[in-house]
Amino acid sequence: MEFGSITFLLRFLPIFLILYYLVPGRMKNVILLLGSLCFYAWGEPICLLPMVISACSDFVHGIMIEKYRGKGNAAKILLFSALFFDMCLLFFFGYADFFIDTANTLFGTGWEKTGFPLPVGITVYTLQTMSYVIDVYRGKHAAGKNILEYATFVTMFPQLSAGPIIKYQDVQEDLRRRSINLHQISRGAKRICVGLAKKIVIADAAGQLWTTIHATQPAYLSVATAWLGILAFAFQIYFSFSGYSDIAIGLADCLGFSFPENYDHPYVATSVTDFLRRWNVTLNYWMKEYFYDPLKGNKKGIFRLLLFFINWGLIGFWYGPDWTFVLWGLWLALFFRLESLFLDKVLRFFPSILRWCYAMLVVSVGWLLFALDDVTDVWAYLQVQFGVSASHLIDHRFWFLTWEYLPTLILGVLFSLPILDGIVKRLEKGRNGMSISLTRLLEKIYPAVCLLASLVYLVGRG
Amino acid sequence: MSEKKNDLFTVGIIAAILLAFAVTDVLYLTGVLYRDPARRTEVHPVATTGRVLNGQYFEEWDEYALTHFYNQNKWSRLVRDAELFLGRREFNGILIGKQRTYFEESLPQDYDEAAAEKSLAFLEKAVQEYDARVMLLPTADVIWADRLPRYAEAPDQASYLSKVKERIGEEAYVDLYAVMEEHQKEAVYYRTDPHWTSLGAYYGYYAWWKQSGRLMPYYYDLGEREIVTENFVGPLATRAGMEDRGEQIFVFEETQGKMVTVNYDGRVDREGFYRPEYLESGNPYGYFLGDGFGMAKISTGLDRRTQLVVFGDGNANAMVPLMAPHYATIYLVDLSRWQGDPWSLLSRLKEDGTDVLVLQSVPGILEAFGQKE
Repeated sequence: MEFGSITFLLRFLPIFLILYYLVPGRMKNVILLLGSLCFYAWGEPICLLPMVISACSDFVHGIMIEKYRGKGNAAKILLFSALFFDMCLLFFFGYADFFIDTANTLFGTGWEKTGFPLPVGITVYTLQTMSYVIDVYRGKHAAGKNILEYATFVTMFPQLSAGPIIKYQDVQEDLRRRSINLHQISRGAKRICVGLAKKIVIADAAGQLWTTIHATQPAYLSVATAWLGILAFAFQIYFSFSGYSDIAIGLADCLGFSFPENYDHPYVATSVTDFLRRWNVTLNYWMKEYFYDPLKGNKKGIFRLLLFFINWGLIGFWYGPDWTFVLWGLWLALFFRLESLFLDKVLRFFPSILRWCYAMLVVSVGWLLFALDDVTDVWAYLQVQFGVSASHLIDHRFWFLTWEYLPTLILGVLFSLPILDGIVKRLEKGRNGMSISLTRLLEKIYPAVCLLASLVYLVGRG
Repeated sequence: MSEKKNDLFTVGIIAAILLAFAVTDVLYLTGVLYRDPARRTEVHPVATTGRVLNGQYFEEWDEYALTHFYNQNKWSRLVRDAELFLGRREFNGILIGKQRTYFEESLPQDYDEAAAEKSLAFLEKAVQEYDARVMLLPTADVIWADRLPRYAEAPDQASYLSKVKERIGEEAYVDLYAVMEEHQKEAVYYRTDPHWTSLGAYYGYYAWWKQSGRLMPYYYDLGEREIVTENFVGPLATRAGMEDRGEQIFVFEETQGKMVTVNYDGRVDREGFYRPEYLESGNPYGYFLGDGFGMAKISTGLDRRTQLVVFGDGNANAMVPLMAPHYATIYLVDLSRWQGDPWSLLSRLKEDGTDVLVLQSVPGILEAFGQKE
């Protein structure tokens, strides 16, 4: 089920929330679990299979690991067994066709694809269950003894679509006992409205602009139109991911949980390192905590460097089964590495606007890898973007499309940079009566405006 | 207001909006709210084990839910109007220009060089071997470029047309570009449809007559028009999702009473040039000789043995009735649909002294030759 659908917003969500608030505390997990299973099964019920298998496997492994911890190598073997099992599920259900396709291309093997669709959320819950067994092994928390609580943690629907990736200890206490107050619900509801508007009003419109420009053959694009296209894609991808994250965090608030933040205005970054600290934070930290740091140990030199790039390649791979995603991860990792070696020191000599330009240039080239299907297309587009093979520097089509999508572009700039936050803070600081009333009025009406705009757009575009 | 009251207000207003939409949705689906009779017949997606397991049922259900919201058309219009207000002029590949004129968006990459070359070779052969006349109609966005939305560009059809003129020679070339430009202040094209109007066809007919070497044209009186409808809304407006006030279709009175028989693809015979049943269909322009046929053979009952072969697209349908007084038989061939070989047809008919005319819009001829091997 998609957050931005009638089925979710007007049918699933109201019924689910009414039931959730009506039942007593101990029953809330049952409603949440059943709701999550319905949410997940809507689409392709068969995709429930890997989720259920993974949840059962890690629940049992967790208990066993705890039992044998400190007794020889048994716990370690069990940990590897759990991780191996998770990886097999992820590989089979998520990436098998990709590897078959790669093998067929490279070696002409002619293997048949499984045709199995990538189950929604498999990359999210697999990381969550893996971190669970690793943390049990590390003794960070006890293994869950209550299958209902554990299953609720694994299947919880708010974050399944695009994160944030949560850890068991983030929600352990809340799963057992949680209080929900009006302020939390209000905060969550506002966040959901903003997230919906980001996805439905901005991301979808920016996506249309990118689709229009992408449909034009590079030979007919001007330099300016090519840049406009990548700007549109940057807005589409950011507002889709951060919109979904906002909805997830807001829903969690409404349900009495507290999820970590996942996006922090990545387009204000003045370096690639800074960008990566602001983009899909929970994923990047998950990989650091559970993959890079443990494997790195005290090793130095080429192994460490290799591990660093593997780490970022895998982060790219998380977004989808395609080599271009891996290249996206590697591309950003290259600059991350260069910055830690020397580039950061060099950049400090430049004014922040130039540092920002540098960071956005690297990020925008990265988005091409994300947006296009193969490297040849990326190369052709880059040639236009940098004027090597463009028909013109600027043309009527650029002005036409800019004019067509001006409101989207303005909203994109306003919401991707912390401009609105700055205005609100300034208004809050103002002690005069008018600024206080204006702030309160804005606070009260903007979630309703966001929700109304999202619903009207959703229904009207149908 | 205290913080608690603020929170209550926020939650209340959000819940109210969401519930208002959700309840409306339920009332509409259960039939409590008025439902468009056309939509009442539409059935829910059917759930079978296979379709549920492979997800097809859910996909169709989501689509159904989206397209079956209460007053969905009005919501769509609201979104379109809001977007129009905010400056947007392109919807679903259709540009909305001044005076509410709709144009199909064309991009430089739409010009197919190979198709252009094939079409030039075809025209050259038709002129050299069969003394054909060639009428290529520029599209409305070229002639009415001043009506295009801000920064939108008209396609460059002039350079293709000058190539055609150069290859076939001035004698065979009927310069519709000049004719349409001369009358560009008049309603020579529909606002909501990609074809020319009866007025455009009328000017086209006289341009053809001048080039055909005939002594006299048939006289059509512009004052004697038969208005067929005032509410014609063509597919361009429909595709853009806009509700339009509609426009007029007229025909010349002289063409209406003609006793002609039209045979479609050797199968169906119909009387007269016009098909009123199309006016209420999705393609009202089909009023002119219908649509979807490869070849229409029109017998006018004239006793002279004169024949005309027209290789034409939809635009020809509006002009052929005006040419009927000159010919006993007119073959109207749509090159993009007809499966036969034009050269065998022409050589078969050549012995009877047949005139040949190519009457296509510029994108029409390029599209026809883009498809043909």
